[in-house]
Amino acid sequence: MSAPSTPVAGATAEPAWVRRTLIGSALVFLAGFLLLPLAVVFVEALKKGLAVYLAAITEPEAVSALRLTLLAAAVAVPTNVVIGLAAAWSLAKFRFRGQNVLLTLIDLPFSVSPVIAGLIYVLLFGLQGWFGPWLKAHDLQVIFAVPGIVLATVFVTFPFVARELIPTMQAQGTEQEEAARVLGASGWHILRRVTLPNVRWALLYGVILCNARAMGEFGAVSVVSGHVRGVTDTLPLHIEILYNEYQSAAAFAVASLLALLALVTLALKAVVERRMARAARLAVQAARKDDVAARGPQRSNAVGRPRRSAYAQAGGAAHHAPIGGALAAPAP
Amino acid sequence: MTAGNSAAATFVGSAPGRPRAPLSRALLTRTSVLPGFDLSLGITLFALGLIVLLPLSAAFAKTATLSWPAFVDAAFSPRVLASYRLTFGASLAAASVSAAFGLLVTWVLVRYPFPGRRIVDALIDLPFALPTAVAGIALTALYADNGWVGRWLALAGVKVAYSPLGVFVALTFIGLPFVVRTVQPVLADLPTGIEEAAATLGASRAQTFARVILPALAPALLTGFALAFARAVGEYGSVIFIAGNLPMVSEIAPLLIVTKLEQYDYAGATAIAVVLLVAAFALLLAINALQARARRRESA
Amino acid sequence: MSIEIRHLHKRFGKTVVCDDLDLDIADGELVALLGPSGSGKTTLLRVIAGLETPDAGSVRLHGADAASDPRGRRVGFVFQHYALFAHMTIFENVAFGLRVRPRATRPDEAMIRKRVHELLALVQLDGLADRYPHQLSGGQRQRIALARALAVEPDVLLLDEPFGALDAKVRKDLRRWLRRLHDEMHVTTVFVTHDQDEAMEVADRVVIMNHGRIEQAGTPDEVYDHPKTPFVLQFLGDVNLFHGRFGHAPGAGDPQAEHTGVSYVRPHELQVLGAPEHGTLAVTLSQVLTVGTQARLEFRRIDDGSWVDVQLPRSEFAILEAKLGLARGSRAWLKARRVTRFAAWSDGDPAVDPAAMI
Repeated sequence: MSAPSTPVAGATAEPAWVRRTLIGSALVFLAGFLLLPLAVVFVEALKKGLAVYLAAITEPEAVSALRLTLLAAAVAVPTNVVIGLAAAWSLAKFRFRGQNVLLTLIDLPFSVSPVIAGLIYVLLFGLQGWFGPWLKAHDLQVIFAVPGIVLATVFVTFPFVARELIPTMQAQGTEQEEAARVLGASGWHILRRVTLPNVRWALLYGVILCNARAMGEFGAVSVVSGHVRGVTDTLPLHIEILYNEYQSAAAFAVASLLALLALVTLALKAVVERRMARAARLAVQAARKDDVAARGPQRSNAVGRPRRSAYAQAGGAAHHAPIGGALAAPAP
Repeated sequence: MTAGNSAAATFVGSAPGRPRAPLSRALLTRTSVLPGFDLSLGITLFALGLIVLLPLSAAFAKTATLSWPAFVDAAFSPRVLASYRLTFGASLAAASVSAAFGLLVTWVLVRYPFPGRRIVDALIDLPFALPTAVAGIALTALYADNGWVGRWLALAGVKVAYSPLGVFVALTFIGLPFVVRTVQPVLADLPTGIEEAAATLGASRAQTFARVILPALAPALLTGFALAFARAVGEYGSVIFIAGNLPMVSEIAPLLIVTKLEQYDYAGATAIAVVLLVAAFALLLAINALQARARRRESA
Repeated sequence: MSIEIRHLHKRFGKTVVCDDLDLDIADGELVALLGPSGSGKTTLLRVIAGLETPDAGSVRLHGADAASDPRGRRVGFVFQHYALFAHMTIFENVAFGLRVRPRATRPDEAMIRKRVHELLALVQLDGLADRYPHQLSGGQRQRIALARALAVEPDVLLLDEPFGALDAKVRKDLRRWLRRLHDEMHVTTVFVTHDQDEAMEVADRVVIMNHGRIEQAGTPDEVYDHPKTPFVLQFLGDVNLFHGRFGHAPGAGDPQAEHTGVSYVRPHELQVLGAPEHGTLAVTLSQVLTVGTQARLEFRRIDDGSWVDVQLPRSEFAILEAKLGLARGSRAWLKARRVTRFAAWSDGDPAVDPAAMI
């Protein structure tokens, strides 16, 4: 044993050719699977030239669709931030009967198909719905009008902020808030000066996801909108209209805007994730500093530690009380 | 809103002797000095009830107005059954493929350093972040007979766009991040200890993977599969552009709901919706159970 | 199976973790690698196991160059955090090494069953074959880990801080149990620990490591009574440190005194006297602590105010207290029964000056 060689991970490494084959196949798969669809959006958008592209995204109907999309997001995000904070506060800082049930209920919109999300609002506020006659009598319109779109958007983005805040606030416990209370702080003070600063990255993460979903929602909005161009069309719906009219280049042009939004979302996500990971790591280090026995299994073959995802189970670094499962987000 | 007036009392302080707010009194299992329980829970329940539960109950209430035979007819007629077959069948197949490739991608991401790993890691979430309508038209453009990929497949006689196969492809696309993100933390946290233990006990690398690593990942993989499956069942936007939407052939259940709505057949649409909702809730409970079991095993 | 390590060198990045190590372990010995964190002891153990490859140097097992990966080396390894396979039953855990044998040497199901139950009986956990690791306590899990390692009949048994993650009481029990197991099985065993009591209690020989080098290797009595370096002396048990020669403060003007170097005296090597003698140190009593059967006295030097610890059995202290009328603040004189000095020691060749008589 004289040659100074250090394999990648000693006795637990695969031979190099296996490694290279696996990396190669994974990258080929991802390129074909993820990059191609992304690329095709931009290529098709610019197919007929830059002039057509710009015309498509600046025409009045597109602009009004953009405005409606932004409006829906501007209502949905703050609403769900408030609800998310309230839910996280009650669930993370207290113990009460039915906690798990509440958690599951909050996750409900995740397991509902977006088309069904739209349908149930039609059942409530449509002409033949429960509140239909009342709305008609007061000359108000929800379905096939802007309010319906906003409502449906709020529904589908309901859990996003909450399920980011809840595990984070649970992991942080109640010590700091209780200390503040003992020092005489009021509830709002505690929230503003103790809790919020601690969860700011999780909150931002939830907002990013909530916004991405709100602006990209399709199925639910499609059902409640009347597809009236220029009035009840969001950007995704506008794409559909253009596409169905065979204005493919224009459709892709508008789609490219949303694709850009998606890329920005991914970038922001990555940045915030890293901040969150760093904050969590520092907290764990501080807690374990002198505890020799608590320095659990150190070695891991992982190259980089990912944080748990928004749509997988909540849990993360500290496994606390079972959080009623998470479910997939059905399609916008 | 029940919290109303008691909000003020709660915030001033829960001093002993002061009557506690109603929600606190009824539900708290452990007293706390922290304020705001009633207000926060009140807001949550109010929002939950108004935005989520009330509308959802409308679906069940509407269905309840149907007589049983009418319900069965609406929810299980041949065309509807065909749509279930397509929706659930394609979702199952797509989730399986997502799981297989997702495992490969996760393994490579977690274990092997390669240039651009961080960017690839961020891109995994693309199907989740990309609006479904955009994904829908992009996939259609790719797999149409004159598309970048479609033209090669057409040479082999395989038609993807406007067929059930297209549905399958679209559902695989959107399922990938669920598998990767669920398995990733588990794989990353796998201590080398058990792999080294297997090596010292004489297992080859392949044996170690098959007998030690894969079983340890199985719960997470299954959960990821279930999440991808649940998402696929409800998927709409990504699919309707690439599917042919031909009744009995390439029509997914969510599309059928929309079609019925456009025909003002509210009862029929709701009946199908209820079937899908029940399936979704069953899946939700199953996934909860899976995760609870995985958490219990983890303490070893 | 004897182990021979020559010129072992291992580096992680810029840190040298093992610095030109030489070590011989005889067949059937129970050896402890003892040292503080970062001393290289775990890395040395893992190199013996084949889990790490050294940058330079050789490992020979029973005279032959060791195979390049752990599978060829017939070593059993027990990890600090057990590394049991969580998804397998206890039975399957222990049977694992037998099941992954190549078809040619794989025992049949009946043999496997027999061997597993033998081992479970050996570690006194026979009834738990169908349980899962998370249902067992820490001590039980560690015994299963041991059984698993022994199942493949290794030539060498390696344990990495095996009891580090356990409660104090469990640790003590398992220590004794390991010693007894070794006496029965006579497998060459090497274990890593940072707990000196553990090493001294269990091992035939103790290898003390610091900063990647072996400070001393010897029986527990040897290293305790005849430490080769100041580090060894200070690592194993308490010690009082005196600059210059004991009993003579620097600058006392005594022509005999060498004002250089450091003298070491262990607390139980000091004698408390009521009157001064030649070479004694003048002190006042500051505190008395009784811990179990021992009394620990804390004295303050009159000349420079530094502290000196003395330890003696409570019974003796009671007599002394009565005879000298010792109380807080009372004067006394300390005499050293034994002083250890290291004369200008250089690399690996220290001279110990017993200076038993002053």
